[in-house]
Amino acid sequence: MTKGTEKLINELSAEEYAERAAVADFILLAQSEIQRLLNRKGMRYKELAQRLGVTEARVSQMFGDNATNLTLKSLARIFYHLGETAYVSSVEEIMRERSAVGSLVPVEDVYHWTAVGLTSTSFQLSLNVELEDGDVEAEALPALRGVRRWMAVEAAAGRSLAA
Amino acid sequence: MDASEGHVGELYEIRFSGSRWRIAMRAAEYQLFCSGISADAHLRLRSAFQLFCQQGSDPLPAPLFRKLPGAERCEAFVAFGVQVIGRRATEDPLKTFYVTEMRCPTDVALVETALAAGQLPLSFMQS
Repeated sequence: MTKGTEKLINELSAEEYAERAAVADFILLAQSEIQRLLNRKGMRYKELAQRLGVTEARVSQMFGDNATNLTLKSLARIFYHLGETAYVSSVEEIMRERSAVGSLVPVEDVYHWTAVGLTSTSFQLSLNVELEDGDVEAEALPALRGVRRWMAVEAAAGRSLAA
Repeated sequence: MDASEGHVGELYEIRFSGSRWRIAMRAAEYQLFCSGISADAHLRLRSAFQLFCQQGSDPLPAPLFRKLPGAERCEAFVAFGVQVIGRRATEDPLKTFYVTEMRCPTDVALVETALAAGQLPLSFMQS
């Protein structure tokens, strides 16, 4: 059954399905990353709209089914106004970088380090930091070499990394 | 709510799973999801289900996943007019979202048409 230009899912070829699935996944990925940042900063669409100088309705459209007005340019502006820097890569490239750095070694029993957003090669870290399981994405950054060295030193000194 | 609830012969089965959540559907809803809705709705919902199962509801945009007003503990994934309504089983240690209903745009359109024509509720129809 086809309504106008709409197709039902079983009317798609395998190739069409795969391509459109990739598009849908990426759109939601972009939207969810922004949503995650908004949640972290306790910000609502209204405030984001004010920062962007657009209406709240326009921001809502960006998070809608068609991601209307969510362009590369608007993505970059959104990240900028959230105090972040947009970064584009592929999963395969991230995996290659991760392989080059080496996989993270869990410290103590269960902790893994989630290093999303780590951009500096030098940083200060409290001994009270709580490490938690999480999605390990974009971890293959040069700064992680420093993290690993620090973790090894702490582990050797017998200091717990738990809060 | 657990996998044994539902009509006889319409047991829930896990259709999507991830590190944090699982989504269970009965055969009827799953069949509708697989072949009875537009490709756009199916693909967006599929992406949403996968992200939900992997990371929970927090990163889902508000237009895509929301609480249903007036319905206790009911939440819905909404994409291109299709609503996938369900509830989280908080008693279930495996954290499962049970889909209780799927509403398609045609369903909504039929109801709205009937309302406009004065056909609902039936008790008000003239004999």
